[in-house]
Amino acid sequence: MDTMPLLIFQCLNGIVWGLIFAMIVLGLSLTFGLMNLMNVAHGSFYMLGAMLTATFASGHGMNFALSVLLSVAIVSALGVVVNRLVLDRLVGSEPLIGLLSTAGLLLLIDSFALAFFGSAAISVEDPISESIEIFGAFYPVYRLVVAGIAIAAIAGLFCFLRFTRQGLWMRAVPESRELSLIAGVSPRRVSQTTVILGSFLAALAGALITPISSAHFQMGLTILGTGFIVVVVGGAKNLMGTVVVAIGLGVIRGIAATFVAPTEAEVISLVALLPLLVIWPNGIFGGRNA
Amino acid sequence: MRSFGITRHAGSVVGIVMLLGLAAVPFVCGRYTTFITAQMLAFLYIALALELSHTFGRVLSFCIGSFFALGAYSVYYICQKLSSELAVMLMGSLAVTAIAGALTAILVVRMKGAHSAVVGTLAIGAISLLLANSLTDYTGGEDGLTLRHGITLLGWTSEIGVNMATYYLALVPATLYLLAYLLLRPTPFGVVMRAVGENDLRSEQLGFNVEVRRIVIFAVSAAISGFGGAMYCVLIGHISTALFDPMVSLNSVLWATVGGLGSPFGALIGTLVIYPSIELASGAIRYVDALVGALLIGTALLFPRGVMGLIERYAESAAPPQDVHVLEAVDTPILSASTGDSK
Repeated sequence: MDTMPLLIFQCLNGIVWGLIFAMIVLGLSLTFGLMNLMNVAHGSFYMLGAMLTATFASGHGMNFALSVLLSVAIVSALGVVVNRLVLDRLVGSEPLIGLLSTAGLLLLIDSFALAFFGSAAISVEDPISESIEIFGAFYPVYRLVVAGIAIAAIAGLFCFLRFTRQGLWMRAVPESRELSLIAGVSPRRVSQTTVILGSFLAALAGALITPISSAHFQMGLTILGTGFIVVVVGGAKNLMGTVVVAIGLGVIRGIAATFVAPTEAEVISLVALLPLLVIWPNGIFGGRNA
Repeated sequence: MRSFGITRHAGSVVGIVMLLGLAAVPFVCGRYTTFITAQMLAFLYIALALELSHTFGRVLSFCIGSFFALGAYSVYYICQKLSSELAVMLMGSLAVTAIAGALTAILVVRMKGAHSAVVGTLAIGAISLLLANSLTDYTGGEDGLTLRHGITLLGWTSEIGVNMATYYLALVPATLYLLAYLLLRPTPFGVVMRAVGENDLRSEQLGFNVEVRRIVIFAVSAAISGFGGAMYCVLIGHISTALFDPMVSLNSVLWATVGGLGSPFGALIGTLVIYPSIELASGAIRYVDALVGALLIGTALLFPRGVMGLIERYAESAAPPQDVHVLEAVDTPILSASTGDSK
């Protein structure tokens, strides 16, 4: 393949990956911003979404769309359980306690996934096999559909936070938990909504990625470092900043992948973000809140 | 007053007893137990390094395992390319990891935002794993590299693997480090280091260069972890990119937390309690990471001060009542009030 079509292909790949990644890190950013909790176990929701979808679609021959819906529903319900049992107890605790507990949760969930699904990677057949030509590069239609769903999900989250009463509470509670309580808003309910939204988005990202990249029980752990760095560079509590940095990271990775191996491209994209943390310790968009 | 001093150091006393027990292992235990204990001693250095960077550098380093792996690979290449003298191999490994630690620290220590430093170490850990897996020509990938080379120890012929010389070479530096901690803690140097770890703002106001001290602490902690990796390579003779796995760092977090962050004796106790327990459990339980996870959650939620906290609480409750002012004077941090930049 010539360099130009390859570059376009990789850039599009980068944007699609960036949008999928934005869905994952938005959940991280929400729990970080609203609950002041570094949820290391967040990657496990992404992994479960992918593993369940792959098992339903490939293992049981279920329709792909139905597999996605079912796995997202299961993971969101699991988010409720995890919040009740562990995360809710960590609100207001020292950052180290939250970090250790959620690291333990990650190991626990990943071990159950290993026991239940096995260690082999599970791949899913592309539900839409057609490709279309974009500026000389033939690009799979499924990936464009994924990009569309990701944009809709991200826009839906922003609308939820901006225009609904629950969204208003979610923006109000981090400002002052005490004042919110006086106003009759339950911080526990807000935390619950935050975890459900986060697990929903992560599971959806995991489910949609299965035809692009096979599902594996450790895939949640592999996105962890990148996920946190995107959240912090994006400005911790700034959701739009997180989305912009995630897409930017995807594009850098895509361009780099045109010239070097994918693993090296990932290293380059991460190294490119590290100096930004030194220049802007509170993130590029740290001054403004979503 | 005397009894209170002992109760305050009850955890350290337990740690010293454990060190004596470790010294006796090659004489009283079989080859398998000595092998497992030697392996544990190599991993103990990661827990000690993590505790050092957390307590005095205020960075919970999630890339501490990467320095362990770097130390192991350094020893391998020094042995293959430069010298088969064990002292040179270990000193070379210390130098490499200290330099790598200092370079990392220059980046990490400046990250002042909440959680930024932890995130920085997470990212560096992720990058080092990716790099190790992409440079398979040099790292051997997941299959790894085996060190089959005759070595000397101060001119005497020695060999790779667990033997009397390598066992004590793993134990003695850790013992010296722990004793140095006990001796240096009450000195002006120890007080300044604790102050830097507790409150950077006030330390700076008092004229101490906090940033430089934290860079040095981080570099030293990287070198300690690297020494552990170097000893691992010497004891086991085989290294692979699995050493760069984040699980290595996570395990050290578990050991140090269960033992009790805030004292290297906590790291020692935690490693000695958890490592053999996990080894034993792995024979009976297939998914041993689930046990590690449950332990992390339980420790963090139920007794965040770890075994050291439990020992000290028990010792204090058993001690005769003291003058309230004496208790307050002892428990008060060197520089009270947090700066709020918890990492």
